[in-house]
Amino acid sequence: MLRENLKIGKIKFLTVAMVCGVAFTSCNDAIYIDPADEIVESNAITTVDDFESATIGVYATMGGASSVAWNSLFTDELQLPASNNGTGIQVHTWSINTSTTEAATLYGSYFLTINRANKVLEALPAIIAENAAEQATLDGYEGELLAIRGWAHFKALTLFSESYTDDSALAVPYLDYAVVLEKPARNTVGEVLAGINADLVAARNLIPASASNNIFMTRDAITALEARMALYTEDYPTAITKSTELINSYPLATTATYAAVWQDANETENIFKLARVQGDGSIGQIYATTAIAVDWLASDKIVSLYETGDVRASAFFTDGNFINKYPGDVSSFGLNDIKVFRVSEQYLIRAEAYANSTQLGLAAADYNTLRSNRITGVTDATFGNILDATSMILEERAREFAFEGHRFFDLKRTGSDVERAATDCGLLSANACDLSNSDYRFTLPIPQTEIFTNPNVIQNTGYNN
Amino acid sequence: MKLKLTWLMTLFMAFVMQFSYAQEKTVTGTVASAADGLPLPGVNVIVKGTTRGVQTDFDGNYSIKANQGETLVFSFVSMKTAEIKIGTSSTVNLSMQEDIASLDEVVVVAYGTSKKSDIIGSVSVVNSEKIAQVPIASFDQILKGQSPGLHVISGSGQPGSAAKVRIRGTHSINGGSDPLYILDGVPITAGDFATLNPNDFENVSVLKDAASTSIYGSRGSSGVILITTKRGKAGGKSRVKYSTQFGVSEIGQQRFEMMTGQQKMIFDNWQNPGTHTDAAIANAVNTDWSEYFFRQGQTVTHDFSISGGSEKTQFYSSLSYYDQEGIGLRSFLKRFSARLNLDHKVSDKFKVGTSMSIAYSKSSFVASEGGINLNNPFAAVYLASPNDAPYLADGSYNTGNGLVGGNALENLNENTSKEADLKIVASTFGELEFAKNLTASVRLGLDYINRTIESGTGPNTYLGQNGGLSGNQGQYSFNNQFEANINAVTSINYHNVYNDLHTVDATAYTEYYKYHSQSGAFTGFGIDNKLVGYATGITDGTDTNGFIPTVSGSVAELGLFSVFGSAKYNYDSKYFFEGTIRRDASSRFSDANKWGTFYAVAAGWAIHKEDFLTASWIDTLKLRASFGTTGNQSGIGAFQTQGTYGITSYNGLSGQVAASIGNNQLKWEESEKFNVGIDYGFFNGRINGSVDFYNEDISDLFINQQLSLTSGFASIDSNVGGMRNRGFDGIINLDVVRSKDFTWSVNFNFNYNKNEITDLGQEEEYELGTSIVREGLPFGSHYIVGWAGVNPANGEPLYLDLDGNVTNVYNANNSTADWGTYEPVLTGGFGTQVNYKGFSVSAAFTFADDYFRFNNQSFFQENPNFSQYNLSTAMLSIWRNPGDITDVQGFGYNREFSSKDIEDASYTRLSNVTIAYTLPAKYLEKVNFIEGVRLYAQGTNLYTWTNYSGFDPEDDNNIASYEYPTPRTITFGVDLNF
Repeated sequence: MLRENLKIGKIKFLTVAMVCGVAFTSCNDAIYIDPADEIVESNAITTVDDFESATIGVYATMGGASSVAWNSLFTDELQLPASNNGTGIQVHTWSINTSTTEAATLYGSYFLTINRANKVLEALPAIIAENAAEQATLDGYEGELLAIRGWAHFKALTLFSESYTDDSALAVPYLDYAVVLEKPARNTVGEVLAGINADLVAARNLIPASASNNIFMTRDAITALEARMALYTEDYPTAITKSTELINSYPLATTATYAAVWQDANETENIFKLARVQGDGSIGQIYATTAIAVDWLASDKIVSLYETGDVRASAFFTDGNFINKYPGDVSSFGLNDIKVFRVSEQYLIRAEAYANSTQLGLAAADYNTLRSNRITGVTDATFGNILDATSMILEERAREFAFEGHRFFDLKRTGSDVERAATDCGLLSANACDLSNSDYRFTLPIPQTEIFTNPNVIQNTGYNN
Repeated sequence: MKLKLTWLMTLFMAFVMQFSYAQEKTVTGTVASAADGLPLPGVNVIVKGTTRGVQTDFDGNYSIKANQGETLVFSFVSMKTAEIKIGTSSTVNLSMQEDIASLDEVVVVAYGTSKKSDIIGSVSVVNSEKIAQVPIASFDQILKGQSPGLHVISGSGQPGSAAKVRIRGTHSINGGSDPLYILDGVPITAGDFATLNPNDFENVSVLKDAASTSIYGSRGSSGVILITTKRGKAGGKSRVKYSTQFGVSEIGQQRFEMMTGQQKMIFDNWQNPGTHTDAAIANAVNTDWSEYFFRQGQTVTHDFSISGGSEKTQFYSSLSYYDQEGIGLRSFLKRFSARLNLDHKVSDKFKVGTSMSIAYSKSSFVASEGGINLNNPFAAVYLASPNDAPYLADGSYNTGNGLVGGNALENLNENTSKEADLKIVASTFGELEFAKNLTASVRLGLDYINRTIESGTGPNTYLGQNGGLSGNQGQYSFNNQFEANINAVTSINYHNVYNDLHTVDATAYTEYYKYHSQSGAFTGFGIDNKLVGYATGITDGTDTNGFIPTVSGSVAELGLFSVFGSAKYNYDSKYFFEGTIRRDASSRFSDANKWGTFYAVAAGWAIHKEDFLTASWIDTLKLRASFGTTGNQSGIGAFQTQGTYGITSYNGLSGQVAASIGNNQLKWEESEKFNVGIDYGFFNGRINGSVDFYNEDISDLFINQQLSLTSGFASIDSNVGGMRNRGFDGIINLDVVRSKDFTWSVNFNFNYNKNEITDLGQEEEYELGTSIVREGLPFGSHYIVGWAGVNPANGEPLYLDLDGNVTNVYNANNSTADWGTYEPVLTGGFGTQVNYKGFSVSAAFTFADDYFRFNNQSFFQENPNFSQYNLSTAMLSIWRNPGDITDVQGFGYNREFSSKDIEDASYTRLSNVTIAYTLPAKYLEKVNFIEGVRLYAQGTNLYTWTNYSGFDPEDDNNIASYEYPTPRTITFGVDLNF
């Protein structure tokens, strides 16, 4: 009987063991799971097609709207209406400190672009081109990535550096590798500019001369960036050379066609722009979510700058102060391409460079050419002296580039104060009408999170006391 | 051979049965309580070894057919089971003795049950009386204040919303701190309980220390909550129960006041003189927006259950309908649920059972709940200008640019935000004693939820046209997702008692767990005005109309496989020793770190069983201690060990970008827990409870190792941190009066938890939201610049610098961590119950102390920069003239975040009061189909004592941002037993 019992016990035990066994054999299915709907790093960029896709990914990262918003909010371009939903008020009233979100967003977004470009560039050596055509394709993308890296460094420098001209002043880190755990220190202005220049020279050699699609980095886009850098760093001969190259190949839009530029219906002037399609953020929504939900109006000051006959006024404003520079389309309010480099800038770069090189006649010629394509019935102006010339050019830049992300940089680099009209600061409770150019807030703070994380970074003057 | 014997036995039994039938007679008698002599209704009387059984009636009488020589078994809850052999007399009366060991209830513990007196881990239990018929849909909220060391904090008053639940503090910074929830052996998704019916719950066990949780290995660190549902009992007639409840909810107390229409206009004139004329102010429109946004919500519930069964098969079945409207327009929860629990004995050695619940719930939500968003009605109600009317003269909504109230009101009434859930929790088990003392069992479980989330915005509404929607003509979005948790546990148990003294119990287990989820979603635009809220209203997209829909989807799997075992020994229920060990493998980790090992050891000493303890007033005195480890892997992404790339697009071209950085070194967070406690019971159990001290050291904590922003990412998770929780918890129950007609009891429980971050690896500190994570500080420490008041001379705001000096410069670098934490240090609950004859009154309170919150609302309500909205009446004391003593800085100075915004949110809340009356049995005798009637009135969240100025001091996060406040609810109900 004991034996029988054991036998039955054994059978039952075996059954149990089998059940356990089934559980055991299926255990691998529970603990080894491959990503189903995700791409992992190890197989992300391995072919020429992947490299193209990753380059597109870097373009998708390039931001334009945040910088435009900062330029508008900080300066005299805007007026606070009662319908504001609360956004942007802190920057507008210069309540700016190391925790200001907008500053952190800008810093983060340009370095995100740089990091992504570097990541893709680092994947390049492992990709083997099968033939010359593939090699040429790879070269082209490499050039574009280098140009994007240069552009992003320059944007970061202009926001976070106290000076554009003092080569020994602190700028931002210049990065030609993909940072992960490293804690890079800030390089000097001279070092960053040298890095950008090297990137741009290399990029120009890699991008084919035939590349002409203005939503990607072309040789012309590189030239436009070089011209702007030269102006900001007061290297006037280079500014003149570079802008001349572009002026000679891109016509200005006329008074008849100017409005179409802002409806993305005319590409004459655009050297480089960031394409924005449905699903992307709308640049016009910086100012208003719809024609009714208005967060910001154009300032009385800027509206009053345009004389009768100036087609820009009708292209930029409706109903008095409503900003219509980015009308968008029926699908998305305010959704337009973000114009990064237009040829009109090149005219004003060259005019300013000539003026500062005491070639006032040439300066006036460029100034007048631009104005004659903007204002019907305008008469030519002459410049009496450098000061006249530069202040008139600065004012023209305010008109031409309103809400386009230039005003803050123009005030900063020319030593000009923010001077808001009394009617524009009526609703503001803070003493937020004027800000001297010498104020420390003309340079953005390095974000507090970066200060915490990266002991090698030094904060800008004014934010530490 | 054995078979043969069985056959012979059957034959023999048949003879015996036949023989005994001849001797059958009717036995009658009365059963009463020995303590008070009162008759006991409902006592089970069963003829031992048979399925013949009856129950005593209301007078304690029974009548049963039995044979001389057979034994009657009398059993009743909390009474000692008695056996009486039938002699020649046909009358058997019995005085039942109270079972002192009835304190010795059976408690559900990890992977099984245990007698309470045998437990040496830290476990507390909440019984069904505390859970049933509370008009709160999500059971976790009902546990508030009920159990020491269990802190439950509501984040929202939306019907059905789950709470934040913490057992003995926060256990992780980046990973999860939610307990593991197990329903009838099935792990279920945390924070998702609206589609479970709490009336089905028999009890809830809260497992706290290593001895009770370590066996859950990598899922046990944050404690475990075990839920057991009701099951049928053998014998007697089936029990049928119907309960219904009806009630109303309304907004609780408000602790801040907004300006009236006139006040606001006067204020506007202070800010910008001449904005309004005196005549205009005199005729100010004064809209009280709370009349439009709040409402009285209704609650209706119906609950029907049947339970019963024979010796072989028992069942519990229920059907329930729950319908609750929130106090915010548009919000509600409707739930329909059904359950069937079955147990069957195939033979004496083979048992099977199943638990099955299926429920369907529909919810509707307010807009932008808990968001600083003007569509959120709980923001709009305060920020909408009192000078705006809600409707125009023609009855249409007063919508438009800046018309906060009208826009939000239209959105709530005309647009939709809905959810529908189907949830199935099913488990089945088989248990076979395949050899003497050896039992094998298998349990399979499934937790499945299918969720549909929809929202619709009408083309003619302000939001539909101005909300930044593609095409500006409304939208409809639909998201469908499912989640399935599948688990299987196989085990072999050995249990034996040697010489009636040595109890040995050992079990070996394997467990398989897998999580699957998948979702798909679309959003369409260009909605037809007649079809708002439905997919059929979508207009096809073209290149030019802006109506191109967006689509998305995702799929995920996670898994665990484990081998584990437990061993228990006790000597005469006096000395106890236990050990558990578990090896877990997780799909989340790379091969090198895939397996983790967790263990616990525990010992207990029932001092009251020692001869030297002679004091007769001590019933129970048990010392227990445990030490062990648990793990945590929640909060780690499925593929966080590898960097991932995501899809993006530029100008419609598809591209890929790095979406996350991988860290292939990731492994479990590990927690070492020590616990020492005492269970006590004095004076026949009139005073009883327990006290525990614990210490938890967590290492390899996931820390967002902060990265330089130049990396393109903010942080990478690494196992570099350490944290400690150390504290006490305890409970005391006191029966003040215990007499025949009148009883009065009080209870109190508390938890004092001191949290400290002990290690952050290479970092010393980093900011996390509005708080700072810093070595030496508790988790959740607020970090902000100190506020030093307003300079009476010029109205400028003053702050404190790092040295504590007053300065007029605001600098974020002067932030300090001197402002407390948003994780309360002292929490608990207390209550009382009085019974007099059929009447009972109970009250329950909860409290949290040393608890501070960031009030983000005051930044808007007390800020002249936001004077396009309504402002708090606190702003009427704004500095205007030299010499004004006030806490509100003058116009012309920026309002910055400062310690002024951190408020003491400590509170004591009267969470539940129930007044009930049970009809005496004599009234029901004539209505012979009803056996019991209980009528009651119940109030929840009745009153709160606090200094906090927001809506509700309770919140599940750090910051007050116009959350949906918890309402005050009053219901009336009736329970009928048939």
